Amino acid sequence: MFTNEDKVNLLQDTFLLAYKGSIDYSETLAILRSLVNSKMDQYVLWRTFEWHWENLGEIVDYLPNTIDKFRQFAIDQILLGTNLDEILTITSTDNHNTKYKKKRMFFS
Amino acid sequence: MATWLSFKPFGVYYQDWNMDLQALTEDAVPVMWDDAKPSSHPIVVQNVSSASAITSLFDSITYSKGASILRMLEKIAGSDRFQQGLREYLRENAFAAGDPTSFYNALFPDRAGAEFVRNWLEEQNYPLLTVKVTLENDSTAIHFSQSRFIISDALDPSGLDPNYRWKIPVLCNLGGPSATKTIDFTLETEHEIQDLDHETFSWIKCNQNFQGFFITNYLLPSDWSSFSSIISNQPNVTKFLFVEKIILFD
Repeated sequence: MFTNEDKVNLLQDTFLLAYKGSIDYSETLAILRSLVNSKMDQYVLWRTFEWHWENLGEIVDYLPNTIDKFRQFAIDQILLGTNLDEILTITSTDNHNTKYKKKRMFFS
Repeated sequence: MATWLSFKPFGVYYQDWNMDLQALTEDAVPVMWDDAKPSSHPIVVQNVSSASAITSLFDSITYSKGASILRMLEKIAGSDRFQQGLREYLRENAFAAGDPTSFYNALFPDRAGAEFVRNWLEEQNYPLLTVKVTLENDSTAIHFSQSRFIISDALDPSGLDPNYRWKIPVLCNLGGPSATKTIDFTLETEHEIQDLDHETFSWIKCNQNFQGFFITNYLLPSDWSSFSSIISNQPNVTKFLFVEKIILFD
């Protein structure tokens, strides 16, 4: 129903609105989780998440007792339905998108 | 222009790389952060005279926002018209300093093209489009409003025009159990209402295909149960997400 551009748009809008305080981060994370659960197989979606998550990481780093949960949430999303070996292995069926996606998942 | 056109050869020779899609994560996503601050600047800056002032303009706003605005113009005008307009502009202005007015007007012959484009080039920041949906009996009213988006209330916006109004290309999809609809218009005022008499929908998604350089917030009426009941009556819905908006996935 939604194109990949639409999904990037929803992530972008909710991350920016939550940062400003216009909506709660639970809305943003709910969208992210639903995308992950529906096989978030496009590089651009992971890249959008990664960009905002890194941005937030610089702030979260200074909050007490938060960075571990913050890091664990990202790991949980990345490893849902896959594992580290799969991310680190390039197969003959991997294309430009999946290679790029694996790279982003590893760096995240 | 060079930044936006740099994606084009990949679209011809390596279609499966989907570089057109990556223009979002390379340019639009990061620069919308930079451009949401009072310290940003318009793409077109007048009266730049010193070398240091010129150097300071070689930044993400000039390149990434510039590419994102051109992407928006091409999405609205269509790829063929964009390419044809650019060819004619280059031919007419070969070996000279060109005035892009004719190019802008050629992109949008059905409206004041140059005025529309300059509206995005000559103002810093970008708008927040707020979409509020209200239901009454069997009809739907959609309230569209715009304001300047600044990323934090801690930043001082006093140097910015609070009454600036962008010409926002609003393109929304609505859907429901028995009907779908597209709303396509340009929001030029602070507020506009679209009444859909005798029509109801269970979801709405605006800024279709992330074509516009703006962000969207969605507000539901206080009575959320009315929307919940609409969504639960969707026969074809296998999964939905109900946040501060009515949106569906899959």
